[in-house]
Amino acid sequence: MVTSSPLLELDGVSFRYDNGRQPALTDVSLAVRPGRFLGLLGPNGSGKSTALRLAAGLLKPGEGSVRLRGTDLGQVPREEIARTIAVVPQGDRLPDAYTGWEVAMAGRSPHRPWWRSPSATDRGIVRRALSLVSALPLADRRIGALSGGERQRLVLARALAQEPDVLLLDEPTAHLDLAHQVAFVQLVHQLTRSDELAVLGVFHDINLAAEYCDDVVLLREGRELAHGEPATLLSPAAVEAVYGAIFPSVAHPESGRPAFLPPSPTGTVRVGTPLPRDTTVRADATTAGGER
Amino acid sequence: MRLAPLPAVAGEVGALAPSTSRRRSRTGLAVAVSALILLMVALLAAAIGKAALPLSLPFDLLGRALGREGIEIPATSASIFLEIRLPRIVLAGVVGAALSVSGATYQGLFRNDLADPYVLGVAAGAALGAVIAFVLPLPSVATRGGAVQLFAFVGAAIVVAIVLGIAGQGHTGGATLLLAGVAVGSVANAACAYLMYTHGDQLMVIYGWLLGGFNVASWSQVGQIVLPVAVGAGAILLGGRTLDLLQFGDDEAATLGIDVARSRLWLTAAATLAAAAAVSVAGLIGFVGLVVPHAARLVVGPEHHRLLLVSGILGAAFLIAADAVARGLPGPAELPVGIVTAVIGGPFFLFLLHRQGRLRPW
Repeated sequence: MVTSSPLLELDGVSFRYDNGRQPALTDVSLAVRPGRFLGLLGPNGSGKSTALRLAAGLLKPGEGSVRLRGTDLGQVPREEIARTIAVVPQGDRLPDAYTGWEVAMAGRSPHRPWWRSPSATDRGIVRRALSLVSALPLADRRIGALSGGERQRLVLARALAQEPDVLLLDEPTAHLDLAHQVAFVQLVHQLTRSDELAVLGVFHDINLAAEYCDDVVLLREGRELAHGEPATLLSPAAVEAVYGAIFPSVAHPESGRPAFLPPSPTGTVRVGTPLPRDTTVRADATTAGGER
Repeated sequence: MRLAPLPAVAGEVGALAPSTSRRRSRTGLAVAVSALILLMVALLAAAIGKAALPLSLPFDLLGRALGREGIEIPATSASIFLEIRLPRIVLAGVVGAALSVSGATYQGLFRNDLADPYVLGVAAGAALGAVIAFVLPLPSVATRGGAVQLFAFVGAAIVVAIVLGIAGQGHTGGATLLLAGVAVGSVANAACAYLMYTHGDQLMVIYGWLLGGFNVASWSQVGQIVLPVAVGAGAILLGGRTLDLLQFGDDEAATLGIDVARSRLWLTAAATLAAAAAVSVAGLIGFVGLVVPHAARLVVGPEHHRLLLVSGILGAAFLIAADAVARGLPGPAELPVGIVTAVIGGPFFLFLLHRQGRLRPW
């Protein structure tokens, strides 16, 4: 199935935060390939965002290596990384006083020296990026007056204006309503097909990942539990092993891929509170006191 | 991935308008208007002082210098203007510009509206240095003036260097740097207070310096600070885009191509250089570095290249005006200019907050 060599690679990476008693990541390997959408799934604290920050070069691995086109990422200047890797961060922290245009134009900064004002090409690319996310009407609006969904679209436009080969998404849809979530992921998915964009996305929503990712990696307590194609990998047993709870699952009516539902309050499935670290995974389906 | 540039469509306005000329001219217009304000303030200020000078004097002097015949200028007026009034105006302008650019930089670096040139301990360090110079057994008043200036500059630089060293040269986030500045500053303040307490006979002189002023302004003072202020402010102006990208957050700026730790270090160093030079000749003039950048931001928006230019020019105008008020008010002695900037700056700041709809008076 693997058709292309990896653009960005985590190879046996371990990482521990300065104040962390346990490693945030242990021996994790990932390969982000052109034209492929790789999803990272796992419960809170499983190391998903840490893996993404390592892939962006924002953290240096304790062990193992992160390589961009075979070169250790630590050896690549920040500006050069920014011409290849763009990040869509979690949330919508943007400075209120700037306009939508200024936000998207920030994506051009790694492509032009600081003493040059934006060229006609820069402006055209920013227009294209804004139009791809349907944000042209936001160009003259101040960020402070925009909704969370509009801000997130501008952040994606900024990332696209970087003209990256690799796009890293950190729970990009966390603040969006359902339609905006789908529109966001559909656009990214389409860019993997039309422009050979390589994507690594951290997801909370297992169903979005199941539908749109080509491959998924399951993380738990900083370790890789499994990886593979979502259709075969995301079995109820695998989901239980990652999240520590059983969810009712159905087949997607269009794709046939697995989809997971919240348990009904009148049903028999009870989800215990998330397990503390270092406890073994149990199927607390019937015994644990429910949270609701 | 490559994006095909999307051509502009005729009739679009604002940022989407077909050419860049509109936006460039906006910067040009803002700079031109501020420069005009500065020029008018400076001309007015030239007339104000213990010896009132005619408003036409600068033009007469200019005319004579250009070789026009038949201009009568009293010799005393000319020498008051050229040797006392003009250096004082230039010095106030340079100091006002330095404090404002430095304040705008710190506000941008720390994404904090309350930051001013003194946040990292420049004020505390300069004050301690100056007080040490005041209490040292120096032979003459003349050497004392130079020593106060030198000690204040060195004290400010040392305190900021200690703060940067403790907080890890900018590798830690901006908040840590601010807190380290508060901590180190309070130790320097304590030392300063102790020296003042134990040298009560010098208290008036020291206190007068702390409040700031330009009553001993001279061309040599101008010469001493022009270079550090120009270097500091120039370096900051080159970093305008870096400051813009830092507004997105440290991680975001890094993924947009900025070496955050290194940028924060050199921008801090540049802002400190300008502020320390200003403080060394003018004492601790408050409010300029806090209020002027906010006023400029209200007029020209947040983009730092434009904001820094306009802040510098308006800062110069503001301090020249405040100093003119300080020396022009009737009374037995000149007011320290720090009192004037605080009295004007405080209410003006409240007015700005009100304009932004951030005040909810009862």
